[in-house]
Amino acid sequence: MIESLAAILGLGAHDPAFWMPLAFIAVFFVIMVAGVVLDGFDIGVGCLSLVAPRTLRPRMLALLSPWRDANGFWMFLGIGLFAAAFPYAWPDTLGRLYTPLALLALGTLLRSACFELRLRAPVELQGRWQFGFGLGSLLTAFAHGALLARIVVGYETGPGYTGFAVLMGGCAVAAYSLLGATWLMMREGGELRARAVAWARRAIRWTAVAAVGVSVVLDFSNAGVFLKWGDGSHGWVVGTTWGLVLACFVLAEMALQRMIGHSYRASAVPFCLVLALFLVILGGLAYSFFPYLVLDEVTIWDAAAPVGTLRLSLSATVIALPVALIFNLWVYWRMFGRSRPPEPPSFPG
Amino acid sequence: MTQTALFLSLAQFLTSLGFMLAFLALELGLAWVLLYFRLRARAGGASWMLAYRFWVRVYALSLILGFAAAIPVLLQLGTLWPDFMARAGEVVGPLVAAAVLTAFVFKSCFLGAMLYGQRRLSDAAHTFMVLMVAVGAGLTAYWIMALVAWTQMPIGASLVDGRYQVRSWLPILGGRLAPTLFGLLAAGGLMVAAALMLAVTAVRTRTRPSDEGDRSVYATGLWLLLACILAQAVLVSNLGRVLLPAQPARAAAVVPQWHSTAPADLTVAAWPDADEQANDWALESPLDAPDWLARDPAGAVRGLDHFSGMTPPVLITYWSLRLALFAGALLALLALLAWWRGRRLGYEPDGLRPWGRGALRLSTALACAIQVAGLVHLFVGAVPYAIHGTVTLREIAATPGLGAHAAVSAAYVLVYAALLLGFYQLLRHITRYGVVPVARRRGRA
Repeated sequence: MIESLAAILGLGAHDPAFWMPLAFIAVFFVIMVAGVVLDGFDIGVGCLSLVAPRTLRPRMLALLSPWRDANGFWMFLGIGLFAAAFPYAWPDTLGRLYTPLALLALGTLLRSACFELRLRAPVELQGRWQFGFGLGSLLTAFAHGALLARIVVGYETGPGYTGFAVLMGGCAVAAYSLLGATWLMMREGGELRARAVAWARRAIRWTAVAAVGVSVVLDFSNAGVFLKWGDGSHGWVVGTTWGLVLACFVLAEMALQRMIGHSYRASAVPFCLVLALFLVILGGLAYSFFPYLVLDEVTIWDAAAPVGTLRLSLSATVIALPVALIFNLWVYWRMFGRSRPPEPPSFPG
Repeated sequence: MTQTALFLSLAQFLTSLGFMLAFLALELGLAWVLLYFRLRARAGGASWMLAYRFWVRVYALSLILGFAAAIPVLLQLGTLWPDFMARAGEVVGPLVAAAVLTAFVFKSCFLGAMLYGQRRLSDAAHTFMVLMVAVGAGLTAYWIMALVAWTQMPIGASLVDGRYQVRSWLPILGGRLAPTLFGLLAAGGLMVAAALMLAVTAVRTRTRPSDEGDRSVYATGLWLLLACILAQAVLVSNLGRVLLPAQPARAAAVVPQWHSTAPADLTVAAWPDADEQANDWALESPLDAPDWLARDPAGAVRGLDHFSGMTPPVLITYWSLRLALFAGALLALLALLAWWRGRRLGYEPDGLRPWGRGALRLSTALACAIQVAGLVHLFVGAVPYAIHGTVTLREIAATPGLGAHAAVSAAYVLVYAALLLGFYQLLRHITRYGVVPVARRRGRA
């Protein structure tokens, strides 16, 4: 596949102009997946904090606290990398997404500012910062869905497309809520867990709507994607993807039904299944789009900066990436399983 | 692209950028102040640790807002000015990436340890963390200011087929403008931090007797404020010498020189009237027109009518600079007075009179006004260019629907106002009741 792509572009497979954009799109994809999955449970818990009973909200936010710093940074990193590696794609991507990106910016701003300010606010003011965090999460989730909807229909505008974007925005809120709820039921017992199960069972249906809707619309709005999935030459990809999606949905639904009154040992199962679901769907989207950034219009090589600039950015990334990896392994180490309370500090002497 | 839409885009972008730069500057200033406190505390002064504990909270608040505000700026760069990246991506992309990666590396390695890890680290290790956080804040700010400087004076890159290509990074990163702008940002942040230190100490000691920490902060604030005013005065004159010859339209608006005339007298102060294209009233100095005003070969001074409409909004450019200079002069007077009083009181804030406390609070407002007016002058004075002399804002602007544009702009203003109010509220709260530390442990909740 690599050779044939290189041949189409008329470049050697070892030519930096060929492989550097590929390397960057791989790093960009990893950062995006990390942003969706790792920031995702955070967004989900934020959305759910709007509907949770008042007494549970502080605990929900406290559970997020150890990861907030790291979670907030994925999107920042993604945009920075996109600016350095694919500057020529900006007019055709970001330039066409005014409203959803404005919602995303407002949501992210509210989320990152309100959470930290709440931590430092006096008790009587914490409620409104908590609401700000919830509202920011809702905006962010909605914006993610609307962005995806706008991108898969090739940035077409019109009433029907707007309706699809709104539907997808709502479904994205459900999908992130599902991720957040399954994470919560893994982290915490008691009332919060019971409520999380109820939230998750409602959210999973709309997540399925999102998964099917986005795939069908992407297929039928673009002939190239339709051919890629439908011409039978990559049958195993199609079979595996849909099989995995179906299996994840069914197993997650079954696990959720058995959740209440079950032992704590299996409480991580729904979260892992939903995680797998997200990964498969994102992988499917990436497979559909590759090697385009804008379907049929802009490939990653059209949008990439010149080799000299790419080399500069790549060396900076190579220095920063190990730091990111080590730091993130270190931070996300205890993301799974039940939450453990912090140990009391030891006072010498 | 209507005039209204362009105005909304510019207002939206400058609000976000200004909010981000203001809090990044304050964060940068406080980071270095905290390093000073930490070093003094390490040298054996319990009072400095008190000061550190209090001011690290203010630092955290401004850091939170500065970082959070960076996302809207980056996204607006794409949604409001989409063709900016297509034109200048080769210069802008790496600078943005450098700023993001620097912030990321320094934040992930050192910031958590500085804010939450003091108890688990040795004294020396924690001081080192504070140092690295300060260095990281400086580096991040430098990348951003290099980018701003390049849009004001695009050197080191050449425009080929509508796209900028980098010739050499040295003038882009070094140049004459980038260090000056960075210095101005750092001095501005330190100035606001110093004024804030004075005002908070004045308010805190009004309701309770001062402690050692208050005296340390008071003395540091007085000296730092004076030093920053001096530094900004030097840097501003340096900036004028570099920037004004390169941007003749801004220079003409600064005077304001409406019409091209034979060598005119230097206008020291004026009341410009934009409709009449003339000064209603002007005070002229007997000196010759300064050499940074552009002249044509015959020696006549170029007025605003010379640039065929490619001039910045004259009134905003003129008044923002005058406001900054006036507030600067006032602050300098106040600072000298406060310094003189402070020395006589032996840096004992308990001895302050009510009017003295009021003056110290006023100094914070003045310091903020100087920085905001300065930023407005820097950015509005470059209009209508996005990259000075070559790319106008109009050619890179997006065309969003006017209704959505207005609604989004209003939402931004609301959110920024709420965050500013929240910052002020929390600052007032800790001034009144002190700081309760916040704990955060890795992976545990």
